[in-house]
Amino acid sequence: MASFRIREDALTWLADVQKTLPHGSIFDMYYFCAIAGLTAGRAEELKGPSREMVDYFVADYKPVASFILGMLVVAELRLARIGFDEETAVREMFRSLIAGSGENGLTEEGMKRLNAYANGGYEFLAENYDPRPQSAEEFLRAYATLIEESAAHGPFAC
Amino acid sequence: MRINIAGWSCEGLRCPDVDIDLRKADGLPFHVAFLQMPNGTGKTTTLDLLKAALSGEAAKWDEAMVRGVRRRGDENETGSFKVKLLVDGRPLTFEIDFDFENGRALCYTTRPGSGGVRSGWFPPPEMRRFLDISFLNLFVFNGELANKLFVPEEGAAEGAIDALCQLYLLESVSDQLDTEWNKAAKSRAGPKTQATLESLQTKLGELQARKTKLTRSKEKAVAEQAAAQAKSDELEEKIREKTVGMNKDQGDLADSRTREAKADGIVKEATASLHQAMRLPLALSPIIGKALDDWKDQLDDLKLPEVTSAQFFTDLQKKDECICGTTMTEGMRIQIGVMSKAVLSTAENGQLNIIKGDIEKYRPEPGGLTFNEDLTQKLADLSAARREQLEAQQDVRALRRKIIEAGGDQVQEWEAQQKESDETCGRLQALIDAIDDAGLNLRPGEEVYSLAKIQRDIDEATAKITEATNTVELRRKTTLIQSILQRAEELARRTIKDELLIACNERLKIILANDPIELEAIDGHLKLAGQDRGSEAQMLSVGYTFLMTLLERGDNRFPLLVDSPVGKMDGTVRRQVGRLIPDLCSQFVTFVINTERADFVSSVEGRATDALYLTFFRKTDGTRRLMANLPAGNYAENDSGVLVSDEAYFDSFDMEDEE
Repeated sequence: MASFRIREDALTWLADVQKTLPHGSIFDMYYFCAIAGLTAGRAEELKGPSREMVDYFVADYKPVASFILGMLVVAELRLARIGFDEETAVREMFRSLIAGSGENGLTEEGMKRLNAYANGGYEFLAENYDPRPQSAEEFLRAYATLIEESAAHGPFAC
Repeated sequence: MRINIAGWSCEGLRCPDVDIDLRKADGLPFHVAFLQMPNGTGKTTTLDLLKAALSGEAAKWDEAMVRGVRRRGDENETGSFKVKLLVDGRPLTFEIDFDFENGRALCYTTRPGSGGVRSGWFPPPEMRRFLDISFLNLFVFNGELANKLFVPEEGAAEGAIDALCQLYLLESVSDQLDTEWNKAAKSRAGPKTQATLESLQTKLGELQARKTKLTRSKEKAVAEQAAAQAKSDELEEKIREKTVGMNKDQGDLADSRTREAKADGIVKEATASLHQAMRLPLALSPIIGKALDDWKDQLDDLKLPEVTSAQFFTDLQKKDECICGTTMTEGMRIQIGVMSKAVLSTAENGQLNIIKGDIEKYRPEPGGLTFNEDLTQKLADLSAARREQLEAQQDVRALRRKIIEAGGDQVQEWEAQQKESDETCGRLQALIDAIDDAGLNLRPGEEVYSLAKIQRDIDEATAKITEATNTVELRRKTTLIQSILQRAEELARRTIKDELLIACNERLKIILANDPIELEAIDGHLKLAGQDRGSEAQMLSVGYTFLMTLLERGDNRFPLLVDSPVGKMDGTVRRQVGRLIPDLCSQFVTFVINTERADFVSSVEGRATDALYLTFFRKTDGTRRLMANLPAGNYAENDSGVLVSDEAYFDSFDMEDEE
């Protein structure tokens, strides 16, 4: 089963955030990147060195896994310019991304695409921060603002 | 154990149908039985069938071999061969039923007192090893075997020892050990060689050394940090004492420091609270929640998840009729297959239900803040806490600057020293933090300071070493057992050969008293002492003596069934061998042709306690003349052959080849 992957330089870039975030985990860093990519509609296939993580949603994110899966489907539908009412295309998109079984509810393709959004999300964050964030409290405040803004212009705003 | 052949019978096979009984009126077998058969009557086939029945090998025959025992040109669908033994006087029968139609041979075993007829080959357990084909070849053979014992390339003498003493079992145990080792090694993860084990042990040693070093570093850092902190506190106290006149500023500084500490805690708490809120994507922007709601609503309109799952169509494809009652055609099946791919599976429908359910149930408390409003509130709380923290930090810095500057050069010098101590404290704290860190997100090649990570690596290496040690230890034990087995085989073989050599030579001294010869060695083949070859009679005598001495080991007695025991030897040899054989075994059954009778039969019967004379020939136009003078009451005939039990007829029979 495919695993969540995050690129190494994203981890380096977020090192101080993780260090100063109370109980911050590598999955938190992945989530920041993935949500940034989904809301901004930025997906880039992973190419450089990346870290293989777990193949399941960790406990902190299990309760919200459905939203992440839903966001992935919606982002992909919007990216492919498929209307929510296009029954066959919606069904096909769902089947290609969401698995009926498994630890994470994603197909191989679904995991590949979510990792691509995490990768694109990191690039989006890096473009909007200079220098890289030095503390969690500073990052969270800026991140919340950035996501709210990008959501207003990204695939979810359509 | 004493094994005797009581007789055999065959029907529907290449050799003519016959029922051979080798027993006397008292039920015991004749010491010697001559079976005179012209060439072409089926001596070789009979010998092969005897071996196949006794060993159970017939069950493994392929179709061609099975059909090969049917007489050419015959159309019969079945045939049978039965051999009757006496094992310590108790009957034991092996039977082969041939199904020529299907090319199969079925074995049956009859053991009175043990359930009667059983399908399959089931000799008594203690007898099994004597019925192994390699062993059978030692007492059911054609006359050439005795000669082969002297041919180095044949290795027949060594093979005979192996067959009797079953030394090959030691080799089989050794092979089995290899099989078990390979199985065990495959099931074990990790390295399996000594070199890799040593490499792992080196790595473990390095990890343990690193752990020790870091543990000491931490202890040193904690001590040094305490010393630096004490020095900083001491300097702080000195600064306070020196500036004791600035009571109000000192009081304000203490208050500001308290405020700063409190603000630090609030910022940390607010950060954690905001982070927790941000883990819900809906909270980050109401737009996200709305898009998900829209999608969910549209799914409802599209009636997704579906009432009918892909499984329904997959099942329908396999039916003979469609649900509408129409007979299912190939075209319909293809169309339904296409449909099934366009429909969600049961599991996919289930997953979609979960997602929709989660989107639906995540609603803020009625009258409460929306998730986004809650997050915005937490953002504001964090900002306020951060402002408060900054103000407190500024106050602390300003008041302290004021106090230091008022204290003059001495205080500024102390402050510089204190700054140095604080920096040392910070540097040491960073080292302590790194050592205490869980070490979960290290980059490849990054130097490891985390004791937790090193301990995990130590545990992993230890587990691998334990596994590898067990595997290497298992290999060592396997090799040791194999070397013991090999040594045991060598010693056993040597001892058996030495004993056999002595026993054979003792016997030869008596048997060939007038024509002495001695065995020098058994080394793959039989080697005569002082000469490469003896006379033909000597060679055969030594060969038979070797075989029977071998067979008598372990107090077992076997019959000797030999096809053409003397072949084309001259009269002298025949007489010598003929005199020898009855003394060597408890039952001697031999197939001969009329030209082999001279000298041999008379020599054998002279030493036999009793003898049976059978003549057997196929009914053909060429043998019609032989039917004229059959001894009344001493023959049995059927459609395919005639069996005569009469010494006079035996002696006068003059057919060498089937006509």
